[in-house]
Amino acid sequence: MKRAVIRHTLNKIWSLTHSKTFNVFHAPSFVNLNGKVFHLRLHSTWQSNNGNGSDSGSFTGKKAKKVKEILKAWLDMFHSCHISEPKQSIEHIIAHTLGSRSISSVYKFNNKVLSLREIQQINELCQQRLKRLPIQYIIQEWDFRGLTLKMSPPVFIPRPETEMLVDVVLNEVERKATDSVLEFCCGSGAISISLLKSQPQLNVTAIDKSKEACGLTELNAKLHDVSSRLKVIHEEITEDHPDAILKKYDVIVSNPPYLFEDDMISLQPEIKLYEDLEALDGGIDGLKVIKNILRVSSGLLNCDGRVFLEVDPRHPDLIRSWLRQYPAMKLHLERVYKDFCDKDRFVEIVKK
Amino acid sequence: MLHRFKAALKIVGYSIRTKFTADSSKVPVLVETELKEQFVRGSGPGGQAVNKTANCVTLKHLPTGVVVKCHETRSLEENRKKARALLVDKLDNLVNGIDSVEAQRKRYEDKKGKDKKRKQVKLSLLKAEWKKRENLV
Repeated sequence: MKRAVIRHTLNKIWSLTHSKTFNVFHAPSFVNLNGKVFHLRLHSTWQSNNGNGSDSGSFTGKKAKKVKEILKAWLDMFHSCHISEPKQSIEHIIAHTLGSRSISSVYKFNNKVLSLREIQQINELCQQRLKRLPIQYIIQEWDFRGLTLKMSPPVFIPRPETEMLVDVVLNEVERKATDSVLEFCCGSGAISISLLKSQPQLNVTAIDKSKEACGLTELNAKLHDVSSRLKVIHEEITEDHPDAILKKYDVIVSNPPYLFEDDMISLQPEIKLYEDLEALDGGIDGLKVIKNILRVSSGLLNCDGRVFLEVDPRHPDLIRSWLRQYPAMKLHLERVYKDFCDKDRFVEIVKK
Repeated sequence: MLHRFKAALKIVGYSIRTKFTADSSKVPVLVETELKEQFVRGSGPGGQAVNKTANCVTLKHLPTGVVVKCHETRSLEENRKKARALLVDKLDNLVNGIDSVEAQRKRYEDKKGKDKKRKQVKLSLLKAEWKKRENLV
């Protein structure tokens, strides 16, 4: 019952924020669950913006003209509104406006006098940040390994942990000398495109149930000139064999939704309000999608083929015991890899 | 051979610029076990549950205690690579001193600058002489 209510509320907030008529001040301030009240942290911020938020554009626009002045003004504003990562936020916004990808350019042009148009753009982007829109969506791009990828809401923003998953998979692709890889839940296409960029002979098939994600993957593939070697399929992964896949693979990779449902309520507002929660929510045990992927992979893998998954640190043990319950799938958890924070983050599952 | 070729070209009135390549045989090699790496986003659940943009990497070389920081790019992986390159440069300067790649490059740049200056001085002298000769002063 409780879970159903949480899910319902999250869905409602999400659909509210993504409708065209969304007004931040109409958003609910708390969720009432069986008498227990969960406050949504972002409400207080919005209210405090209500007073001076509308002036903020003009106060920076009229007085501040140099890069460092704008930086200072918005930094103070973000601080007072308790925006997370205030410094990085304004740095990235200014760097983006200056047409650069690195923060150091902001300090290189510390004394540059900005044009009215640039100031206006910075102010507009900062207003979006006050509404907790993630920086990656505001500047509409982000870096993944050596690549700059387009980002657009609500498609999941790739996390730095996943960069290491690509290394693990590349290692296996080279070892097996395989020429094709299958990816489930491709999102923005970060994994697939990184693989294609590093291995010129490789072909990748990427599947996602979200139409926006498929579109973004295709766009990113086009921008990096690998679309001829990437096939994107719009399909949801269920227990059944996906119709569109005809061949068997040696390597399957996925960064599926793996968060435990209970952890969803305490996510940052940036994630809760703007990212597709379907890309994060793994159900009660976080394994909802992972189980489907493993069931399907069992039929899609060649003998000695491997699935590489990004998971929650609690998952490796759960997956190991679940696979033991279903020996018919012939899958074994072979290895667990740690992420850069020394947490168990990736699993390698082999078909025997 | 190249030297002769260049000399020959000089006579005809051409000169070719060769790119500077430093002697990097002494550059130290990093051993991963001797490094201590730290990330801004150290604690917390990590993974999908966190959306942070801070990707700063701090790298410490344990034997010497040299520390470098890198938040040059928006990708953590790239920052880790760049931090290692920075650390190699720093160690190279520390260990090899005047033989480090950076010192070699600096010497080359200095020499190039001096050569240029000398040519300019020579040219201005010639001009002055010419003006004097033609009674233009």
